[in-house]
Amino acid sequence: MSDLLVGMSEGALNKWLSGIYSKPAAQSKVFKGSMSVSGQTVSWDIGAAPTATLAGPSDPIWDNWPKSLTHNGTPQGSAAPPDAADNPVAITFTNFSGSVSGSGGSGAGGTAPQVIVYATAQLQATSVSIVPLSAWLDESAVPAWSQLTLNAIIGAALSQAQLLLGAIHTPQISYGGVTFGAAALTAADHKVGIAANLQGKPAAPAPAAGDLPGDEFYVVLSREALQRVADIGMQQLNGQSASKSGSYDAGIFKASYSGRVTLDRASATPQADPTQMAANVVVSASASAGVDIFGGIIGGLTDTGEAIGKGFEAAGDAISGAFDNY
Amino acid sequence: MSDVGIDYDASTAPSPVGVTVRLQFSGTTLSAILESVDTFIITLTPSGNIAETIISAVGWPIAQTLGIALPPLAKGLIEGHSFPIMTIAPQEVAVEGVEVTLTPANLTASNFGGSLKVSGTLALS
Repeated sequence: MSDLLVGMSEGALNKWLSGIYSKPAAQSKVFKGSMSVSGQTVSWDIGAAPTATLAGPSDPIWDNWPKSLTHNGTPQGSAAPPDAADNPVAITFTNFSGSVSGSGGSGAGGTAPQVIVYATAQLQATSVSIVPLSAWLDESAVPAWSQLTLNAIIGAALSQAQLLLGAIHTPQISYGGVTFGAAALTAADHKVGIAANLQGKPAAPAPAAGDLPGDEFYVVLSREALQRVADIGMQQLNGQSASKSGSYDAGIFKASYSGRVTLDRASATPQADPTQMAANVVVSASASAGVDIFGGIIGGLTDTGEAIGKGFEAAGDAISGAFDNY
Repeated sequence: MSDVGIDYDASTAPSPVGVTVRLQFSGTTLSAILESVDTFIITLTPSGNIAETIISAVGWPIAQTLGIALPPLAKGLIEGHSFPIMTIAPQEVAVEGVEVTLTPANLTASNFGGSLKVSGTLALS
């Protein structure tokens, strides 16, 4: 597996599409439009949030691939659908309305219950690039649409699918200073994932669909990548130090002292369960003291001398007092 | 007065010192936090030539004082240190000037076949 895997589920992608659709501003800018074709104006309106299906041609949504029309109105027919390596994607627009105004066809409207756009997805730098291939709709549901209207609606569906899914970017995620190389995309099994290896290693291949987690949103870091993150994070401890100084008076001697601790070789290691880490730090210490031992002794002797002197004074005073009595 | 210098040989046991690490989310950042330092001792022994060693006998009380004071200093440097493992920025996606922000929520960390998986939901705004 690669060193990094980032992705989301089909459900999350559709939540985002639904979120875009729910924005009032998007209704007029993204899900509604018009175009001028041969002197007529074809207007279209998408009546519900689109949904994406991240699955290959074995999924039933691809059943209408042969009947789907390319941008110029040609059916795919026997053309092979994209294979899994091309990251096939289907985008379904529900209640796709179209109407014509202008000379010759005004009012020829109708609503297609479904318009399915078949496309492939590629990763270009940090953006997902959508290549729309063709679109299908049940023409019997919109009998009033002329070929011109049909082609215009197909064109609108293809371009809007490209516009919507092409807006997706890889998430901005930082990994404590660790960087990754070129990324590769897989869209399959109703999931999408982007894989990358640590910078400097060979580029990661597109991840196997079976390796992609099923979570709504996920980021997977390999043990090696996690170790790299931990190495950077623990480096900041190396060389840090703290000191303690003070003085000590034991009567017979006095001393000033200082001690220092310094951290080195700080490391953290992911455990077998990488949600657990263990760390180690080498703590080195140094200490020194300056002892004033003779100062303490001399100080003691001085005190003693003073006491003796005071004793003599007291004795002298007592003798002098005794002679005063005679 | 006359100062006599005393140096000490220092040793830490055990070495290296073990540290308990906890992984914790703060918003959309997963960090590793050095939570607690295992018990360790620093032993200081007066060093030097014979005369210094004799004199240094008076330094033993200092060795004991520093031996008690230094480990908490080291613990203070280690405990609480943290570093980010990953920060997932909210993603702003714009279509024709209409912006939707995707913010990761309900993030959890788990073991995914020996790799670290951070997963959650995407909140829209």
